Amino acid sequence: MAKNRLTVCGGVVLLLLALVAGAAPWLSPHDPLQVNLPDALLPPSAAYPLGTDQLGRDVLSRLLYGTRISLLIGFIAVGIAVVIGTGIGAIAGFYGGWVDAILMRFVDTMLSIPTIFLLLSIIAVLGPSIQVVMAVIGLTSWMGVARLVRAELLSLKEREFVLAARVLGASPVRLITRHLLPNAMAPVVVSATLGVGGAILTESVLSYLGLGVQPPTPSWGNILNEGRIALGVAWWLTVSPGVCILMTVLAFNLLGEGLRERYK
Amino acid sequence: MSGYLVRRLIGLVPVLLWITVISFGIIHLAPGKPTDAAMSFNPKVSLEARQRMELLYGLDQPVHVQYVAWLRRLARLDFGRSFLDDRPVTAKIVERLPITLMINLLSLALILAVTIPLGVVAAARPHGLFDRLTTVFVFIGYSTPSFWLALLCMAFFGVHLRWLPVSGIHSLDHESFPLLRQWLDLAWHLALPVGIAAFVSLAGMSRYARASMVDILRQDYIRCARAKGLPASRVLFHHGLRNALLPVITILGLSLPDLIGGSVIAETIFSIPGMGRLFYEAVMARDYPVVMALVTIGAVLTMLGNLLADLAYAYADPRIRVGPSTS
Repeated sequence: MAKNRLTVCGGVVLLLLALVAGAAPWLSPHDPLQVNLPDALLPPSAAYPLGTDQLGRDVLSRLLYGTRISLLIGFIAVGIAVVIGTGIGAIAGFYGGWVDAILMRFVDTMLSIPTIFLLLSIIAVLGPSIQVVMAVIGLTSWMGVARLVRAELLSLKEREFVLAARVLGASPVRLITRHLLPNAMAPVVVSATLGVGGAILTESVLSYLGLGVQPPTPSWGNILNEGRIALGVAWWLTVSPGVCILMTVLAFNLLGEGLRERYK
Repeated sequence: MSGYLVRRLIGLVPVLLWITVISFGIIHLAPGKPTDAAMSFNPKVSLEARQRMELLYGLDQPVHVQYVAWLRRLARLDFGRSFLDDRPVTAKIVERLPITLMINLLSLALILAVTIPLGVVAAARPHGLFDRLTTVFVFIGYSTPSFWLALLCMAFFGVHLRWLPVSGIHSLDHESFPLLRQWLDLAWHLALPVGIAAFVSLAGMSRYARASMVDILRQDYIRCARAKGLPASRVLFHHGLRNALLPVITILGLSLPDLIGGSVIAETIFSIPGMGRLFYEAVMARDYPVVMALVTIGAVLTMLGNLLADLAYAYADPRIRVGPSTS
């Protein structure tokens, strides 16, 4: 099926990206941080396959190292979001009643504040760094997972096997972690896969706005920021990082959609 | 209908409270006093201004007292004064709001005008050629960073072809133009920002429109309409689309935060003096009163947008307003 092929494509691209991220030091033709002013803003050539930036740094090498940053931020941010979302969703779904009401109104609130407002204001207060960016993206993207887990638990907790465990005297913690959550994880995996792509997009927006990964550490977003300054003179600074982001996010989305179809 | 409205309005109260807690809490994440940051990042803030600020925000008080005081002023729409130029925050926002609202409304209109026909045509023949093509387009669109697209459009239409202006909302000499020309000038300047702002939601929305339409077209009454020999277009647009639009309205309401958030990016890139850019500038300058006010206003606008979407839904679908609320 065409759908399957696309899913596999997504998976293969992601494997390649992981390899590239791991092997960045060996694949890079130049040092990504090496400033070389006489070679500033050179178009793509044999020596610099994707050209150079304002400081004469090799764009290809910076992109390769940027893969590490993007994947790292994507996975850790989503990890944080899954942990928070699963926790809050599990508590809300398991206990129901007013606990559920309070937590879900909180989820509604988080959903109603434009994410970029939350992200930018928290980063403004805490100061931009890779750690802050990962944490803040995680803290602002757990609501979908919480809703999924809550909905699953609401229906699961009425099932016989849960009742049986309850009769056997299982504690709420054991019920949630042993019996309920393992059965609620499929949609979470799908949403997490799509979430990694989203987190990578968010990181690039933040870095582009100057509130994400700080130079000289290369990230796809901050290379684009430099590209904006040289827009019209150095198109290669703008085109290549965008293509990287697009391909990566597309791969995560294809894989996520494929998984969704499978679990349906 | 009025009973439903009252229920919904009461439901908004806790969300509103949480919004204020979050807006207030963010600023107090920082160690020290909020005014410290303004001082250290902006030497222009005078000593009196800072002292007045501390007095105004009661920064010598415990946090909960500060919060209640802030809520009191909020109820009177008093957001305090900007750290940057000491003007009332409300005035700064009011002068920026119209342009942002205009861009957002225009892009909403553009989103609807593009996604609904796209969704309908794709759903008319699920898995047909057109459907598969739009699916590919949707996936790519969904994964494209909008700010990157904005940069490419600027470089291509603005710098390379010189068709469209790349910044601002007016030509320099726009005041000398006749009225019609002024409007055209505005439209010419807004083409790229509105297009980019709409782009963020295009892919997702056309997918929802399609899914909703496919769902409706499977219903018995559609088969019935077809069976009695109505022309295909009438079945699609009269029987199908009207019902398929309902879920689309809700999704549109839910996508409002992205739209408002998108103004930050679009306005920053195209140098448009709207709320989004005001927010970005306030964040960069640690102008906390403005940041707090905009987070609150952005969330409240979203909330009201969702309310409107729900009311529209309830107006169109009696089952929602008659039955006890289930969600």
